[in-house]
Amino acid sequence: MIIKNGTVYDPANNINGEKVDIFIEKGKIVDESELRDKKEIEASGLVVLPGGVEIHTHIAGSKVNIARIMRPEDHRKDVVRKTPYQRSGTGYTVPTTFTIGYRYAEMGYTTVWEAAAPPLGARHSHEELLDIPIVDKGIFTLMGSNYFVLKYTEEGEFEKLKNFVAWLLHATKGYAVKIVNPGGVESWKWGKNVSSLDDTVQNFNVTPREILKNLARAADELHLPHSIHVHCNNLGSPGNYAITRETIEMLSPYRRHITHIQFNSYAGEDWGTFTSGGSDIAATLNKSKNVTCDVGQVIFGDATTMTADGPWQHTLFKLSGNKWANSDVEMETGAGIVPYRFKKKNVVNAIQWSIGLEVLLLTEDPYKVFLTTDHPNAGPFYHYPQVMELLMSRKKREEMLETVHPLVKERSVLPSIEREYSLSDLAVVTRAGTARALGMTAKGHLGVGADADISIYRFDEEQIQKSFQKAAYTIKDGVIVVKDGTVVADHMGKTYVLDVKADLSEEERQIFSKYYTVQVSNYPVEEAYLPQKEVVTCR
Amino acid sequence: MLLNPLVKTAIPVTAPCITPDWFSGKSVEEVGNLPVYYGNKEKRLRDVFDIKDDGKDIITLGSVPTVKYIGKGMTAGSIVIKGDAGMHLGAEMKGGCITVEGNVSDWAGAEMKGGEIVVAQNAGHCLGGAYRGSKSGMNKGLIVVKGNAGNEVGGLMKKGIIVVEGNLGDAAGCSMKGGTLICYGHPGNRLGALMQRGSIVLYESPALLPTFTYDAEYNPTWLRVFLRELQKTPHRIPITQNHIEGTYRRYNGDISELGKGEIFVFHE
Repeated sequence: MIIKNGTVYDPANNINGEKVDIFIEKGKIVDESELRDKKEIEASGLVVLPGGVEIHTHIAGSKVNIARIMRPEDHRKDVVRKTPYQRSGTGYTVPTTFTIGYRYAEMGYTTVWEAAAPPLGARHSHEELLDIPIVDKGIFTLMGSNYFVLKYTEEGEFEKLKNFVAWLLHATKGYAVKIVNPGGVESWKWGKNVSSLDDTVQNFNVTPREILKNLARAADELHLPHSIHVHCNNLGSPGNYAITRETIEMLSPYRRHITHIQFNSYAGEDWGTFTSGGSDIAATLNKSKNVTCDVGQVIFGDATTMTADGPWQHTLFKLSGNKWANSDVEMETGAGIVPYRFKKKNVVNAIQWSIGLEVLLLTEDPYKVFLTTDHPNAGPFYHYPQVMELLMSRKKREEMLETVHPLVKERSVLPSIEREYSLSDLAVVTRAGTARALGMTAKGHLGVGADADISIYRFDEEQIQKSFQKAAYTIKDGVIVVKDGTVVADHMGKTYVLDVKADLSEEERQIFSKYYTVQVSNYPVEEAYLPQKEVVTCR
Repeated sequence: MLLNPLVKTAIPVTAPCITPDWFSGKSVEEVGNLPVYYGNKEKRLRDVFDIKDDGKDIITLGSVPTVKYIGKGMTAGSIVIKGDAGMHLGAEMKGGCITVEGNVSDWAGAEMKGGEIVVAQNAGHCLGGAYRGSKSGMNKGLIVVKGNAGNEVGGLMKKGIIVVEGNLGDAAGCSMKGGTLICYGHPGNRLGALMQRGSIVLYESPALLPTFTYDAEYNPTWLRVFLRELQKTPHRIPITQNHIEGTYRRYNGDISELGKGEIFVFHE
């Protein structure tokens, strides 16, 4: 297949708005000489980008399902009927598996990562991923409050910890180490939390600082393609930008990814004096190395907050008065779910909205900061084009600022920011940057050897949101899956796993059989759950 | 407009387009072209109904026990159903009037925000209720049922009036947050369970939950005014002079919740 005369933006290969033809053969991008299938897509006047790579979203697994059960009112608002190529489903904040795949593809995204799978729920997560069509996918495994991680950190047994991390990634078929409120989730089992990096975790003589450092070192020494994926302590609380800054700085020189950083960039003493810490965080990102983050940009309207950060979810339940679900995952982690609505006229919500944009716009290197909404915590993923428009147009930002709470202009630097994203910058924060941070060499670019995951848009500078909402074409593994914003073919994506191998010691097996509800032999996810897998080598 | 069902069928027809808002200014041809779902198949209104223009603004339907969502979200105008009506009648309606000369199925007037529904015979479950997961049910408007009603009548109701002249099913007014529910027949079990605010007025003595406490026997001023106003409506609600001037026993509850709800039982 040839994509002819398109205006190509491929920042990873330094192609910036040039007319380049792209040749596809057997699901890969190839050199012209290897081309056999001469089918053409005429793309003159269209913008050609690599397929979108989503770095952080919640789309599969136990907590997503709890939220689905908990929110019938959410499904009622957004019913999707079947078409010859699509199954029926429901949408809005917690869509059904099939709808998730279709909507990502319609928007031009071809790779998505479920960002928090509890190890015991990993099988469930993979089962649901199997039902998410079109896109490539994988899971990050939750480890921040795992019994063995805490035990080995307390005992100072780093090699044992490293071995356990490798085994857990192998057993859960995970791709990266996810850490949520390190230590805090363990303390939550006793109704407590941790509030600084040096607090002691309940029943273990360890601190969040030690947990983070050990896991970051383990991830680096195991040569995992993605760094540790950190949801910091004190998420959601005013004044938490200090702990975020400290986390970024103290983890140097290890690689680290701070996720949904917007929720962790709050200044002020309490809710009354709540202000933006976005510029401070952006300054920290600018001067730090080996650090990436995604923003978790707020979208006004309905959201369903779901995170393994059980104590924060309880706080939010008390703050909002909405319904709440709590989940405790044995010796591993926990979770909480609370529906939430972000309102333009609520001063805190409006400042939260400005913080995400501040971090995106003030961080100079787009390879350090990525666009997410932490779906569905700050808003549904299919509202990304709305954020893209705000990033690319100062005029639109100013229009939006007029409609939100007036205090934003005093408590945030957003009104003074002049920067506008170029299409290249946008391609980095949604594609090239995320793929690089995830260590996915065949994604996020259009060079020879890359996967033929391509999105083509009818780009109109006046209507940026509309341009990106529905792709003119989405091509996945060389197959046209979306045309004119509608799914036109069924396709099964791959699940990404690592080639880590490790085994448990006899002592660990005994602890397992003593305290877990499942036998260790039944614990690992079987190969049957990965009919189409892509194994990534750690080196 | 006159609509008569072409076939008698057990297959549900989803027709939220049958509202004065959708019909206004349209010819028979245009009305016939409105989309409906027959089971899971998309069809046109003319495939399911024989449509005639009788020159009136009122929409008159024959007996349509399997047609769902009639009058959904309507804001004005009238619908008359010469027989039974299906589920979700007048759901989320904001104004206008729906008259049913037979029975109505479940979820009639669910989450309605205004307007009137009058049912000559019996109503199903969840009358004026809240859909699963919603924070509140009926929020303004009036529902009058001449016969009996099913379970969970006025669940999570926030404002508005429901009058049932026959008996109530179980858990009437459950989780009520406001509004008034009047019943002339026998109220079912677990009446007002989890209610926070709102009033239930009864003319037969109920089996109250233990979470309701007796306050006093008196003639509430607001009820006197309220019943006099209800008397003025054309729905012939059986309010007697005795009901207006007599005394009521007041119970408050549900004390396992906020406890600001009240149940009035007519005494003499």
